[in-house]
Amino acid sequence: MKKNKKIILAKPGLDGHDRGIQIIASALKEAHMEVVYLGLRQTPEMIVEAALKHRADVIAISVLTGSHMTVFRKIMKLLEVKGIKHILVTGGGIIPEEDQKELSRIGVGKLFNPGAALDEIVSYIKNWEPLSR
Amino acid sequence: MRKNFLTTGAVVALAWISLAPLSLLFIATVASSNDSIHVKGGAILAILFSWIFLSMGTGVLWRKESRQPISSFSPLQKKSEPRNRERSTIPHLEMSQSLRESDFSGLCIQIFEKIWPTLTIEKLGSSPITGQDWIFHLNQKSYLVHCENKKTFFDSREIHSFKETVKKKGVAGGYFFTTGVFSVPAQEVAASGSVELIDGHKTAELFASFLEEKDLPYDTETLERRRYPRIFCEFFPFEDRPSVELGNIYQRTIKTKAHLFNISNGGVCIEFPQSEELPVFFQLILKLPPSESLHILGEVVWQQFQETKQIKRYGISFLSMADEGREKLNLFLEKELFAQVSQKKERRIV
Repeated sequence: MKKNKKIILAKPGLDGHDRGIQIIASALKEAHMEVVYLGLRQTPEMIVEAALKHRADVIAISVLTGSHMTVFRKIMKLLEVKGIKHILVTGGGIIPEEDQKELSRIGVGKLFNPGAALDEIVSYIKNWEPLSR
Repeated sequence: MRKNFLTTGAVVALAWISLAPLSLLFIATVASSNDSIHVKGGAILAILFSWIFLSMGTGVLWRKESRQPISSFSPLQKKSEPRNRERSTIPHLEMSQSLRESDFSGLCIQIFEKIWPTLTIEKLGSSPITGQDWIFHLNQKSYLVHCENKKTFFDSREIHSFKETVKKKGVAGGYFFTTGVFSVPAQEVAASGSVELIDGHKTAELFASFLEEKDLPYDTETLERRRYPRIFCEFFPFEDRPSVELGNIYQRTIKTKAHLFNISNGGVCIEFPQSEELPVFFQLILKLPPSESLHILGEVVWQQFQETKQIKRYGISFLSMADEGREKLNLFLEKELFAQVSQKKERRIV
């Protein structure tokens, strides 16, 4: 039997706009995935630690403050230090296209801007398969 | 206006008094002079014509003044603005005075329900005075509401009695609705305590706003003004009643049905069994008559347990909706708002 994916959702920094991530959490839950929402004001260290603790398949971050470059880079670096390559790091927020390309180059998955369809987000996570576990 | 009338009269009288001897003197002088008959005749005719024109002018002025309506001379009349306001609410005041006691209090209660959606009401029956008493429970506080229609004047004794009842019941305050008026001592008694008096004019204003679905003009710290007017679905005939289904956000599959209590442009109020859990975010499938079906992302913003019905009432705010759906909802609400107002009028005016 195929194992359901486990997703860590978090909002790093001081941004408190969490309605979007809560809706995504509900949608992922309804799509039969295991969802762990860490809540507001998370640091990259806390997020990576939680992902290891829960043996998560996906880390999904919501950043609306413009600090996406710093946050994603730090998460990717922490995962690299720990030698973890099978976790998908994705997210959403107000992220310009150039930044998306830059983040994609360092290994971050698809990033979603405001207004993205829930179906698209859910099916992207659902259909993603790790290269190695 | 009366002052102008008197001034005109005085000026005319003075003109007559001063002109008559002068004219007579002029005629006598002309008659006794050695001028020809033509000159004498011409001068006398000129004087006579002046008299005729003066009389006509005076008559016209007098008629114009005397045509003013009686009310315009009333010393009680203050300004035109209050008169207009009074005129606009008088049909509603007359309508409310013609209502039976039970219908009058029913309408008062509907207004309270409109102002406070989370209100629960308990009927106490006939009051120790006359009229009907109700207890309203709101935000863990209770208020005594007295509705009395068939009386025109309330003095301090009656307000004292109402205040005592408020104390006895141990409620936070009291509201006294009537179509009559309160005496000045009665208003002083009310001002000294937690009792609010709503006289005929205020009641008429509230009824006017309620029946016309406008924002309620009555505004205190505790009352809210409504951004989106609501349509109460209980007023709809069964076959035309809008309904609601709750579904998953993802894939939009329908999970369960709920009873739709009211609907507005901002959201809906639904009733849902106490035993079942309702998530914070969900897909709302709103079915509008005849066959429209709108998919809306909803968020629970408040909930309240209805003890009498053993159900929970939820306030759901619309988070996102397609533009097409928004237009359809607007059209439906505009159309039904008008229809519902007419129905309410028919229901209430017996």
